Amino acid sequence: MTDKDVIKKLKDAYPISASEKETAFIKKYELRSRNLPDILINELRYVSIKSLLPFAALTVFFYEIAKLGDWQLTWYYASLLPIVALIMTTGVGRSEHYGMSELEAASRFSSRLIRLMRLLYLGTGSLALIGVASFVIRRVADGGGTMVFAIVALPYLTNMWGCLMLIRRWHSKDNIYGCAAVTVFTCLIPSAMKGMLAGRLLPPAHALLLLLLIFMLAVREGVLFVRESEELSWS
Amino acid sequence: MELVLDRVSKQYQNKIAVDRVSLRLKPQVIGLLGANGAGKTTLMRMICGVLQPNSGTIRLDGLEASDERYRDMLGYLPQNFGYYPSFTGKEFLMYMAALKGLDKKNANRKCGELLKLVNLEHAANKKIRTYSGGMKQRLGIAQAILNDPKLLILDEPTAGLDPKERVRFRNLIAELGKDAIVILSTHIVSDVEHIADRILMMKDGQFIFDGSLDEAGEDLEEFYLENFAEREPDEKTI
Repeated sequence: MTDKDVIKKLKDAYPISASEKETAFIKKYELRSRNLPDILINELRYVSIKSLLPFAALTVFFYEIAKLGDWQLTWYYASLLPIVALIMTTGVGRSEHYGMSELEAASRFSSRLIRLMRLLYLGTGSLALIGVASFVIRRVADGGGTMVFAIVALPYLTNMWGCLMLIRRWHSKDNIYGCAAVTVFTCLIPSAMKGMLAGRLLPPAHALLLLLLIFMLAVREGVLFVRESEELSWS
Repeated sequence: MELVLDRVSKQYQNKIAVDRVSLRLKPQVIGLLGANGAGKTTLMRMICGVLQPNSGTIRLDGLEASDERYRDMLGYLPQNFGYYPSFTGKEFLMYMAALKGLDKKNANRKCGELLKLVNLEHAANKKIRTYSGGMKQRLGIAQAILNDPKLLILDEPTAGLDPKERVRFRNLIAELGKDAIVILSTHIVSDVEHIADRILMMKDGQFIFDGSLDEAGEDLEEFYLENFAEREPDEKTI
């Protein structure tokens, strides 16, 4: 009797039950050990901390100068923040910018999730820094805390909104130039605000409402940006 | 294992890129031929779950393309892909391994093996921006097979490879095709001639030929040109 005969006889004598077959079938698709929290932590490693460094450096620089007590410095700080927003936005849209989105979209974990994580990590980090910056500038410069936050956050959020909208619609490496143009425009917002506030054309309450509106638009753009990651545009 | 496409369609504004395509595929190497704009890349993207079909279903052993278990068995090499400029070859593979769900220890081992397989061991710690086109392509092939895929989609995989590398690649694909469904899209007929078990020819979003190499005839290239090229009846290929 050959080995094959023995195996056949054993199989006939001890048939596999239906539940064992089912278990074997499901086990075939047993997922690898890496799970979602691992991936989220892993993605954090690849979020460019360098994106946050210019922001932190700028804040420290202005804090030191603001000790001189010059309220005007708030406007200068606010004018430079859109440049930092540009760096942050390119961090969020780096998959599209560097042509990695298709590879990431075909991986085990949803590309929507990867984008959302990047947006949350960088967005939360930057808003936290804006909050801290507003606090320290308010302590050393003249002006109400809320108003300082509005002056600092408005050009930053406007730039984030504009750049995210551009990246979402313009799938090309060249979209960085469009984002740069948006940044130049938003750097001028503090000057316009200063003039309007001084001329009482923009009451502080309206400035805060405008900030809220821009914040909601930026959040909406972020949601659309994440949602549309599942469908590449056809070129 | 079986990949089933059931009346899959994809339309962009006025153009139907893929038109009610149905297919059943088992583990083998499938060569997908077609002219530019035939719908090959769109079809492959839908199989990979990168694009959503407007209608129809794509299932691998009953699993839909959006299912994590489906994606866990998938390997994909797009026609054009980029890389984060700060990455070395090894870092790129480790990043892709993480996205494919490999744990760090296995990823390290696998990356080392694959870099050796695609002959990039010497350049593993160099930045990808210093790589030649052929080296980048080989790196792309390596990331596609990181997770030992059961469904491997390769879009123009031999572009930029020299003849020796193309032969190595063909041998690799032939080996993988024993246990996995490998769909290989190319313009280079000789790439599929030597290794494909089944040939699919696509035109205007539909399959115009689905059969084995024998059914296509002795000269696959001649058969391909007859179906795609508009030419004089007595024109022959060189």
